[in-house]
Amino acid sequence: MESLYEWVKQLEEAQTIGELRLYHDELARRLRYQLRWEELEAISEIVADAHDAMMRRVFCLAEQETLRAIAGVRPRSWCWYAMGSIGRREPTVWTDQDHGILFACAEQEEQQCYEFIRHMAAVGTNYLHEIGYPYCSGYVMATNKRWGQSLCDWKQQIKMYISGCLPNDIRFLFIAMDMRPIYGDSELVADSRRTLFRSTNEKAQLLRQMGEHVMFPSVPLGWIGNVQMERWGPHSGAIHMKHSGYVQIVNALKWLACAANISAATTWERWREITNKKLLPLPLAEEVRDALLTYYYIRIKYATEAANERDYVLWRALETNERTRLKKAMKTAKKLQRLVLRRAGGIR
Amino acid sequence: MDGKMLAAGLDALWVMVSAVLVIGMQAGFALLEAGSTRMKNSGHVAGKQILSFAIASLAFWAFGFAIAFGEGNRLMGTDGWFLKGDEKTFASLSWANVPLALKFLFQLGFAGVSLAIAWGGFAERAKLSVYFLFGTIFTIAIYPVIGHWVWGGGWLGEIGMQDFAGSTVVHLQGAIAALVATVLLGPRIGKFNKDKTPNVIPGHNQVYTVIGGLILWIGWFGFNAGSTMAVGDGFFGYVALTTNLAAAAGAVAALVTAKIMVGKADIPAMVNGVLAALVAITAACAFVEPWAAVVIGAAAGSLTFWTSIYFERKGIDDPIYAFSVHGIAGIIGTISTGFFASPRLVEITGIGKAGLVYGGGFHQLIVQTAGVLGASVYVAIVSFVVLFVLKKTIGLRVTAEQEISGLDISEHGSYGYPEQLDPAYQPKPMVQQ
Repeated sequence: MESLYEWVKQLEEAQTIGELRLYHDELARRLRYQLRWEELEAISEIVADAHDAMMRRVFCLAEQETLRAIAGVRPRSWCWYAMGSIGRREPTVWTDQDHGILFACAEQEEQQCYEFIRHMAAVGTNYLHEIGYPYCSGYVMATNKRWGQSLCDWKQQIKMYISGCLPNDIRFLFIAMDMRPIYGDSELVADSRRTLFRSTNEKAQLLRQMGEHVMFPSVPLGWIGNVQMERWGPHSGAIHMKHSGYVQIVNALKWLACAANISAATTWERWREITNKKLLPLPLAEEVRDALLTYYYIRIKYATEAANERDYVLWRALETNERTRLKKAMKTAKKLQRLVLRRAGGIR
Repeated sequence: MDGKMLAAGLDALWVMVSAVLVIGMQAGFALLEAGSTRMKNSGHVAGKQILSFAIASLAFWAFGFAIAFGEGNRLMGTDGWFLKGDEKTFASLSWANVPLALKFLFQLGFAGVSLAIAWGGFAERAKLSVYFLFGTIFTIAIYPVIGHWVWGGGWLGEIGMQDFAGSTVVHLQGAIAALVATVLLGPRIGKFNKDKTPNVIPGHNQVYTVIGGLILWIGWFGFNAGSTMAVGDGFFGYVALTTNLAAAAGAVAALVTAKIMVGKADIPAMVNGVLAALVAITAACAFVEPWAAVVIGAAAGSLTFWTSIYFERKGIDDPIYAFSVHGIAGIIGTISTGFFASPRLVEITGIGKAGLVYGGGFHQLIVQTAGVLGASVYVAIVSFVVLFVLKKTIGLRVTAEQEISGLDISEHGSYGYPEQLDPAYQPKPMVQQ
């Protein structure tokens, strides 16, 4: 473990994109030999630190490149933030890009600042791709205006989502709740997140709809405890690790945090505060913790094996104890979904 | 008109109505199969149903009926070609008090259904010429032989096999032929990936599939209840009751099974569940109590969904799951009377003995199993030999180019859906003046 800590520190000194790419590959190699149940929490912290460090370096290089290109005007305050699994500090080795930029500037400079931000976002996104972060298929990247904008426009947008309550609005709110500062003025992002949680918390109708959103996708575990694998296609016989209870638990915790106005960005922080405030029965809270660790272990173990097909794991490839743990985790996810639905106002 | 004549007339009318219902099932198969396959093959898949019934009609009239029901030995009939013969020639059907022409029409409906089932395994890739040749041979050398064994005075009938309307005689036979064909033909292009994982090739119209299923459900009242071939004692009503109960249980069981197994209440799975249940109750409808009909229907509906997934994972491309729906369910239904045949109903029908559940011992179960095995082995061997010879001589399968183009255009020269598929009907780009 010590060597991994040291290694992450070295990573922060990387000077080029080529070096960062090597570090990313090295992370997969090192984890393959160090992954153990008993050290899982520490490992997850190190992996999250490694991703943070890599992204920080990329964003720093992108900023330098943009300054050299003299594109637009650098805003007086800005922050590059992560969302998705990196935002929640639970990434595996190979994860796609989920990030955005928030900036604040004088009104008359806004257009020029946008020019700067767009240039920097384009450079940073390409750099990330080069070092092994695939582009986000849902386009949740700073190059998308939705996720790269001024504070003023951002507030307007969030207000629209909150009042809109359409399925896409709710999806975007769930995504935005994971925003965590990586590089730049971190208070800008942390404050925006707090505002987002507070505003959401105040709208009962929105909370109810968000509770319904937590129910989907349904956990692929049948009534008799059978696992519903992919039936057709190249992943036939496999399970989609994110959709097999993991994303459902993550979203349920997000909803519980939102309902209690807990504006934490990471899943573990949310879990801790929810547990401390006794918002979940203690046995269920413990089950949720075990489930999260199970998902993390299987995701990270099998993700290191196959970089391109990291979301799918062949059921027959899992070891017996892994299958047992995973089934238990899936049951927990279903239980948590039902709890959220009850608290959100029941089934209409 | 005296009472006897009236009874005979009513019996004849009932058999005629039943024959029409059974023959009408061809429309159900046309819709079910066309809906379950792709648009580019829809005209072919639906149209070949008419060809299939036409071939069956001629071949069964000339030879099939004689082999099935004509006087002969324990293995096949050897008299009564072209329906020529007297009461003695077709003594195996003398228990039905209706004219020979009606007996033929009704039995022809069954032969046509069995052949229609077999085509399921050929779907979307077989040559049209194969339909002519195999259809003729199936109707002469395969179907009638098993029909004779069970219903025409053959060895299975003699040992008391209970197959009231043909779970084995009609459905299992067609299904075994379909399985042999699907194995010899190989999977459709694009069905399996290089690593052998299966891809979904969805049918083009689920509504057709559902309507096809409903037509078959209705037709089955002719199939099962009509097999009484008499109205006097009203027993046909009881047979219709068990038939309907089984179908209902099959629908519910299949939908629930799909929901449990794959997480979605799959509509084609429900339709197949109804059909599997109807196939299973076909043998048992006159021998089992209503509660057992529900059990048999539910077991067939549920199990065949599971087997359809299993066979697909094993690399067998059975486009409309003919072997699961008609084969596995046919086995379940035939063997079910070994467990559930009730003494009361055995006495009414006068066939075989009571099942295990009623203290009848293992006798009937052994008889039923022997019937399933005997029929399966015969149909598998003959179908394999015939299809293997066809494969080595004229070939079974269309070329890859024809398959990709679709059988509508490659075999018949026109599309079932010209507006969607024919380039000639595609809207031309607007040219700005």
